[in-house]
Amino acid sequence: MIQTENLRKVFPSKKGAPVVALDNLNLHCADGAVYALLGPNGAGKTTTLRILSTLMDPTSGEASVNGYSIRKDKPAIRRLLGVVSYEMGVYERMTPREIGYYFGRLNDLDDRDIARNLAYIFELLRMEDFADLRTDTFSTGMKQKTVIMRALVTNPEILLFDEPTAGLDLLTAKSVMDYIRLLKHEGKTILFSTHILWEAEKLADTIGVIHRGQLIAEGSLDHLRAQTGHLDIEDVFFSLIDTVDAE
Amino acid sequence: MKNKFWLVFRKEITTMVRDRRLTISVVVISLLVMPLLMGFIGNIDRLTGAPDLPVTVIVQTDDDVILEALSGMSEVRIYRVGPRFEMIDGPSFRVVREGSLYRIYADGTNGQVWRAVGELKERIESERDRRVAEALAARGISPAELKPFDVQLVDTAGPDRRASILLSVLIPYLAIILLVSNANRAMYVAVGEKEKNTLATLLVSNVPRRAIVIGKILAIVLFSVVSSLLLVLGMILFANFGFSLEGLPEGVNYSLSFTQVAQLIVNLTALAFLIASIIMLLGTYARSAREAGIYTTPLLFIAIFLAVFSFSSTDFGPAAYAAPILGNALSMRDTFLGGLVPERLLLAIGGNFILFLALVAATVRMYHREEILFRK
Repeated sequence: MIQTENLRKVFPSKKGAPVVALDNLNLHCADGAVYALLGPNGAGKTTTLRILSTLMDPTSGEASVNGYSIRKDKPAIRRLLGVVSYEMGVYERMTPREIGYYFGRLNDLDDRDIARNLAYIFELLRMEDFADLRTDTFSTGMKQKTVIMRALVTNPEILLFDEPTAGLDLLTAKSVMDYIRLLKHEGKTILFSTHILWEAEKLADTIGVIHRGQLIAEGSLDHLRAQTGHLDIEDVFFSLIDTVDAE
Repeated sequence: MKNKFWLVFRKEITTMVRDRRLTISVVVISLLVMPLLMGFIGNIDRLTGAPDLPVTVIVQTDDDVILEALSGMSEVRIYRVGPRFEMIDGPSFRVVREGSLYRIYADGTNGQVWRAVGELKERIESERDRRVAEALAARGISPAELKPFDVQLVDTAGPDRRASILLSVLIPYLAIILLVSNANRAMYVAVGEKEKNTLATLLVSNVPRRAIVIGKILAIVLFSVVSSLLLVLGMILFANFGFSLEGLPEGVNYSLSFTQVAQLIVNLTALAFLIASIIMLLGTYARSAREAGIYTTPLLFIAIFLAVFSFSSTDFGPAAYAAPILGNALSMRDTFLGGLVPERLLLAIGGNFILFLALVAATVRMYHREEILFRK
């Protein structure tokens, strides 16, 4: 379970007023659920995920992952998490298998467990053909699979995806969505951020709409439809955004 | 921390070794190019193959002393001129008699001319001594009474000693510069995670930031020490196998004792730790290798400036050995001269180590500061 309570993040700015990236954000992602954090660019999605993945500290407020505090229990949280971001690269002179072993060992797995996990992931992501090739010759899709493999090698309970399809062509983006669906069936708790509405519609059990650093709505798609009186997710989304902007 | 720094270290070394361009260039530059370059510079006259032109001696008179002295000299030609100045092509010098004084005007930077001048001076002095002896003999006086004793300088330094003097100047200088520049080439280890967007993955892994910093520093250390030792090896091989440097005697048999090799390794390793920690600090702060390059350029200049002190034979006192880089240069010089005092080596290591610890602490702190790690 992932929970945030009045989470606030302010970035100091050299040129002007401090930038409020998150403003008392409260979200709740249940165990085994797929949670889509939906919002326009600059809404605070990446900052939320960076705080949840222990890369950043909040300015104020609290967040917890499976009961562990992101302020006090960072090592425990890191053991639970797998993180995938559109920004993440891969080591160019290593093979996916070597990368898997590297991160598995860094996360205290023994080689037997790593080998077993990798065999499963390579089959799941259809990576067997290039598991032992260096990544510097890989296509974007192959690199994205390698990034996902790296997040999965520790068999984490919770997965955070930050715009996992950003910059990918339609086919590769679809295959990434398929992997998330597969992982959902495996019972993983998944929180992913996106600004692509159909991704949230197809995958999420819960949708959180974030705008200007605040969570302006949260619930199932049906709940949001009922809340806004619209059926189409695009209409639901813009209705929520417009309501806040009008205020 | 267990052995996680070791995992980071192994991964960095693996990726560096797999960078063929980096590996080949380091091995070739250290083992071949630098010694060859120094050999070429040292022997440029010989290697370019241009035969020496005869030295023209410009004389204004038919002075019998000068003509007699010059007649026994090979590779000189006499050019008689009037008092007016005339331009002469090729190496030349001018001899003018002013009363009882022979004044020789010559370009001291031209080795060939200066050798000829030296020979002519000796010959004129010899003729003077002969005439004095004759005049004394005519008066019944023995020349020995006028010159009861003489002084002769005898150089006791053998070729090996002369080789060690030259190498003690060259190798520390080159080794330090190469170490700094090679550590700089390993900058990718420090800044590559940011540049290739792999840092976040590493940071969300269950690995202490200290282990990341130490593992990466160790990789830079190994890389730069190996490259510097290759340079030392290359220079010694070249000194021993016929491609002698200017000033290095022929037939030199120069080798290092076990103690000297150990001192060199310890010294270079201590320096490598310091330089690697500086590279790591700057690489952690920088957003890209390009930005890091801007920060490390002054480091190279500082290293060049301090390494120049290895050229000096002055004893700077023990305190100088505690100064990073300077202490390493002086210690290396002493190693090649065979006179390194262990306490001074310890001072050099200690100076580096204290600064190293401070820099590592600063880098680890940086690894906890999100405004540096995610600086845009």
